[in-house]
Amino acid sequence: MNSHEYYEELLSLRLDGLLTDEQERELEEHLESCPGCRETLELLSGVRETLDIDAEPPEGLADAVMDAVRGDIRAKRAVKRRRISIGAGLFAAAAVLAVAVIPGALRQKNTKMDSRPVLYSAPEAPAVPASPAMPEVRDAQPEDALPDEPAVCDIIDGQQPVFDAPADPDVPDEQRLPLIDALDGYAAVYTFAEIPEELVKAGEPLSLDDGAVGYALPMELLEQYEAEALMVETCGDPTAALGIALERPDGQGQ
Amino acid sequence: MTALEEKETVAAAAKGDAVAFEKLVREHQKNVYSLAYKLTGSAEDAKDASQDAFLRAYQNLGSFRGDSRVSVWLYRLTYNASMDIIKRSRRGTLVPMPTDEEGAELDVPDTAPRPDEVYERREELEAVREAIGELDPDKREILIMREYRDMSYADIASALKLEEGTVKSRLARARMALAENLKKRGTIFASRKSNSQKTSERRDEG
Repeated sequence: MNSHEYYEELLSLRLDGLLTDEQERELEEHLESCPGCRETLELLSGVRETLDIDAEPPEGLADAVMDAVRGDIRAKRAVKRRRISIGAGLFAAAAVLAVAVIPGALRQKNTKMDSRPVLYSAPEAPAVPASPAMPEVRDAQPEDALPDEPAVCDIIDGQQPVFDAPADPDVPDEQRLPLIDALDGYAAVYTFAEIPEELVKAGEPLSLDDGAVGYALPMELLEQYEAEALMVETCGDPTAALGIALERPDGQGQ
Repeated sequence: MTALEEKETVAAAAKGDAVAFEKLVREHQKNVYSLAYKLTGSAEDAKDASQDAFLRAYQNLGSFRGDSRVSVWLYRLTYNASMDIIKRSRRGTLVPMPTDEEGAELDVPDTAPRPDEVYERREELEAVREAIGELDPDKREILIMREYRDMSYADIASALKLEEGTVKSRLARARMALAENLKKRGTIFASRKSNSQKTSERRDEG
């Protein structure tokens, strides 16, 4: 007579289809005389069946992921290299995302949905359906047409605010980025003057695709600034922040 | 992918190499999707959860320390993404069964699971998840490896640094404890007839 534990082990092995014929016979014999084990087997078979999902990922899953990832890369690059402005659609999004922006910083933007990366489907705001006026990331240029980005520390060391482009006339309005979706409700923009400490403190570190470290800032904070663009680039050190291109409401920008 | 290759691929991906990241996605998509399916109980949610998990992975590559394997890290991300989706769908209204004006159920094409089936399955999955969640960490861990991550006995043995024989007995003990838990909760599989033979034939791995 074997111990009960022995049969429990057989029972477990059976769930995995690992019994020898001999063991199978032994277990069957035991089950006939042991209602407890029968019940256990039934329950565990139910578990097995519930979890027995050998699902193949749908075709195109990896592609969809990569589309979203590339959208993410593009969005972040675009955030870095372009002037950012905020689409009119932001007003529609404001209720959802609790964002307020000073009207002076706004420009009329289009809000087509077609190039919107899957990634930014406002996952934290499920209660409100995405409005057609939600801003989306726009990046009219193919990724490989983007020039190489200078390393962040070049900017820190250099005097060249490479990304500073107060007007960046080359970027037509319709290609400017509404920024809200680009970084999950945070504004991530460029910086080139003194950065107010409160912004640095409130910044959430961001890892950019080229390894740069940036800080995303909650939009609410920017209410106080007429922020045309701001993002803190620091090479990892918040105190080394470059500065921020922003105009204060009193007109003493930079 | 060996551990070393994996490390290099992760490092490349973390530097923004999308091709490297794609390698990781293709390598792990089956496990991620299958886990998400086991947690959410629907193909559509599993797809969404998988995408979310990979995206989170991508966005957090910099924080991946490499002291565990990518599969373990992705397991965690997939679990979280799946739970988020479940929570979200709970907040939303449940899709009622489609009925005609007199209240009779309308025919729904067989190919798509009916909303009540998805719901039922989700309930079952949740009950199992909770019952497993109440076990001791050791038991929970080994059950998750076997039931959710489909790891073979040999893989479990190597992950937990145990002999295979020990894996067998630990797994058996964990399953018995799970069964006890389920018994206490009252059976959730009452409507099913025992299907153990079929299951054991289908599952021929280890």
